[in-house]
Amino acid sequence: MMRNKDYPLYELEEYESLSQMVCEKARTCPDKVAFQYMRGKKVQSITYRKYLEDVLAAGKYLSEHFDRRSHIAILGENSYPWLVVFMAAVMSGNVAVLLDKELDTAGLQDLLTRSNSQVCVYSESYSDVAKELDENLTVEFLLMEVLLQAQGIGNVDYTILDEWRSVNKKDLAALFYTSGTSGKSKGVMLSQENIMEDINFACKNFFLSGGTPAVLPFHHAFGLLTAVFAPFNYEHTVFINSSLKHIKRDLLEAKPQMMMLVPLFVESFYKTIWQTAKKQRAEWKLHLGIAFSNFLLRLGVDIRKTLFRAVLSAFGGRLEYIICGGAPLQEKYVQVFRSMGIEVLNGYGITECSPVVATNRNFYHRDGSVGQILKGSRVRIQNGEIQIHGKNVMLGYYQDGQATEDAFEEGWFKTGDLGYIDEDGFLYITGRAKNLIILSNGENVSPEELENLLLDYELVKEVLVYAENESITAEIYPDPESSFDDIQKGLQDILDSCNRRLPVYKRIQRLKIRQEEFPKTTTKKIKRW
Amino acid sequence: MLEKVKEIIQNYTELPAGEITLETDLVKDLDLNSLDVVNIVVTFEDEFDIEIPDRVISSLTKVVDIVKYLEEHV
Repeated sequence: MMRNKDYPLYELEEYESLSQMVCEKARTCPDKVAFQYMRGKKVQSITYRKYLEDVLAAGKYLSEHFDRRSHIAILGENSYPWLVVFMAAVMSGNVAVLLDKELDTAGLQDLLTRSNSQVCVYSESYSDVAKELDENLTVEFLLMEVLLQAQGIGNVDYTILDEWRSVNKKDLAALFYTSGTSGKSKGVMLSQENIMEDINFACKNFFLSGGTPAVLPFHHAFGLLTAVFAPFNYEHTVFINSSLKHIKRDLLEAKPQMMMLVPLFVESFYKTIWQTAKKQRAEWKLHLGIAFSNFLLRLGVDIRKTLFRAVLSAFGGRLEYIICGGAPLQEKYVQVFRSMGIEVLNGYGITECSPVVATNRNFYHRDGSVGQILKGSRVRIQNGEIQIHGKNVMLGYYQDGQATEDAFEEGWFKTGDLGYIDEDGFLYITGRAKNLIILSNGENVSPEELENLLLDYELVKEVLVYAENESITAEIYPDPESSFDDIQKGLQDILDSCNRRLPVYKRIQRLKIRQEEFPKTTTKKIKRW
Repeated sequence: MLEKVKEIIQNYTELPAGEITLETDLVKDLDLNSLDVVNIVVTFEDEFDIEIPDRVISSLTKVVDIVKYLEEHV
């Protein structure tokens, strides 16, 4: 039964760097399965030893062909080769630049340029994009699979590890791009130490005792560092989901004990459960089951696994926990999933903190809270804003000294989130200090970025983008001198044309037309609030 | 083709018939999120026995885009 009271942190060996973790795991549990994925209709299993060997092969190729400290961009869908290239870049002393595969070619070109990438390793399905980019850039393009097969089978050179020993754990290892308030995304610089510190301490707050699927995109810190390399540290198998189209199949194969998700998934699973019940004309059964389960739980009786076997079997039958982060999740989801036997534990993180800052614990959690602060982090509330100090805090923003300076106050990282800590050390988030729109899929959308896109059109005189009822809304004051006969249609066409260039999550869903100018500040900026 | 596409979207969204036209935008007009779009695409794949690559999914903005894609590939 749930105790829900404070208890000692879990004890897991701590590592100093990602390199050390990968090498040690290959030594201490070489034959355990680190990763699984579907290849055709078969499940492929990769052991800890095999992962290190593939990383060595890819890393050796990089060491032989490029100068150390090269910036190596990775472009592709979630896959095992992606994880090999990432670790190979990091362990060989280069810098992994993580690209959002949803970006259009102009967006990718911008990131490759701004990140000073010398190499871009791409997956086969992005060959056409790579070809197009190759025509405009001096970057060297390399097919992911070529890198993996660089050394040939059964020919592993462990001596390369001696060369890599001089790689400094405090050096920049990975560049994650995150939406900034100024419109352009900012490159968050993380070192191996930053990342490992966060994994070490996240694994002390939550304990994993089974497999987990990786469904969040790898170019996000939460999707990669927390959802892949924290489970790697627990020595439990990560099942790589390469396409959301196959998520149902992969869950049945993976039979996870835990999933790391953003609210969008939790909401979607919830919707699917009810849709399925409706189709089977069993909604009343589900309602009754939930009420009955809650009643029994109050009496200390837990038969949820039996009562909700059908629901749980769609998740593989072993699911006990969902760790949810990236955006706020409504409490109703937590309660309904709990009634069915799945504990949804909210956590809080930010890319700049590698990324986990706090998480609810297996047997110590509070609804509405994002949990207990990781042991390695210190948190203070300054004028309502959550500020963080710790080895998990980034090195800074890449080539943006001003933004880095603005992000810190007396050495504390300013998260831009508002919140408080209760007497038992639980952290609560109450709002955002920055303008960022946080969607339920965890994606951060910078309103300024969308506003700048729209302002390129003559018809758009002034514009404000914000979220209203979870929908991205553009409120536009059209140019009064425009010669358009049909302003509504003109603006709608502009929106359509912008949307076609944007990833799905960034698309503007609502248009509001203003008849008068926006109120301005003294510096002639539109007042946001 | 249009009728079948409309039917699948209607079944998923539970909207009354007639609310979905060629010009209907999945995200903007139907308030669907990216996972909903993926779920609908999976239904098209099953129904028409084709494979729609992930990268195509994000280009399917309006009903007309889906119809065009299916007409070209089924």
